[in-house]
Amino acid sequence: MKIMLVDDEPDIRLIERIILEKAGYEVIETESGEDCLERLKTEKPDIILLDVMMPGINGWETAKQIKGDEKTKEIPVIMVTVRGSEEDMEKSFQYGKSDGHVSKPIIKDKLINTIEWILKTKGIKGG
Amino acid sequence: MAVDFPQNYSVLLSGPPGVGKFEYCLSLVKSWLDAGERVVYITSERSPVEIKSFASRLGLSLEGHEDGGSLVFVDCYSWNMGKSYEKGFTIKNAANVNEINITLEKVMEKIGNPARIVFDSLSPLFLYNDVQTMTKFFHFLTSNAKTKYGFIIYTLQEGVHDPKIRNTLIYLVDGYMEMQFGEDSDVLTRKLRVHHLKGVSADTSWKNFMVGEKGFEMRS
Repeated sequence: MKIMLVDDEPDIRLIERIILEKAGYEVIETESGEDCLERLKTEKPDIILLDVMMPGINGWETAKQIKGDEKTKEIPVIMVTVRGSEEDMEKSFQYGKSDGHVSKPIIKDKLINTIEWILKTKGIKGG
Repeated sequence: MAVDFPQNYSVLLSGPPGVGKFEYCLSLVKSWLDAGERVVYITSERSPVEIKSFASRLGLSLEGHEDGGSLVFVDCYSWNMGKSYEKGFTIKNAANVNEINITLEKVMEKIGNPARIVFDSLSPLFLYNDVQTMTKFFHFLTSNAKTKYGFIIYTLQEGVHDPKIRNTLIYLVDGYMEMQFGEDSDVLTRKLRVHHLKGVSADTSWKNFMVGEKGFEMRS
């Protein structure tokens, strides 16, 4: 299983990478929305973890573009953000059409269980 | 957390995946069965065989209760894999929520009212049905549970739905409970609280719990 990380902060990507690799996932790192969209032309991750607050195209806009593209719309997107208000979460689900939301600071079990749940219910990974 | 849920009542329990909602439901089921109550377990995230196996490993064996007629599974999970559960009822297509209502009506005719109904969980059904359909289904089932069947507790995954959905569901039930992960000095913690229970006096503070070898356990 391959996961694409999208976050402009190298420290956050490192923490996420350590958690995900320990859980047995292969990780692709990207550092911006633009970088993510470019890499999706050649890579096909099973799930994308997307930071909201990034310079350039923010996470919501990146998610919207992923979900608006026939080639990538089926890839589950989880927004990972310090912005945990209900309005922010609503924007993730309604505007970004995301599949999940995990708030920072990242709690390993919450992140892994959310990923596993989404992969399982979408039939991407057996239960 | 020992909560004495009244009859003719409905409760929603939400929390992130893996936090312990399933283990909490199992502990409720076991305590109800031991008290001689009838239980209907509607499952959408694991098969009845998995549930019974898991319960046995936790020392909460459900064996014998199905044969005795006090426990009935409604399987909304296996249809996706083209399987069915022979000892209980299998939903042929969870994209048709009316089938769940009709099946539950049959189950209740078979075992008789009142019963305790566990619906674990609502979340996968939102993948196959639009929000309006799910809200109507939830309203209808909750009304039936309260007026005819006796009691229902639903679980809902947090972080995979628009918060507006959860807020709508909370509005339609009598009680709401929530679970959370936390970190205390780098140690993972799990917390449960009663947010509100209409007509019931309850402590609404967060309480730590464990999911261990014995399943769900409150920590002192």
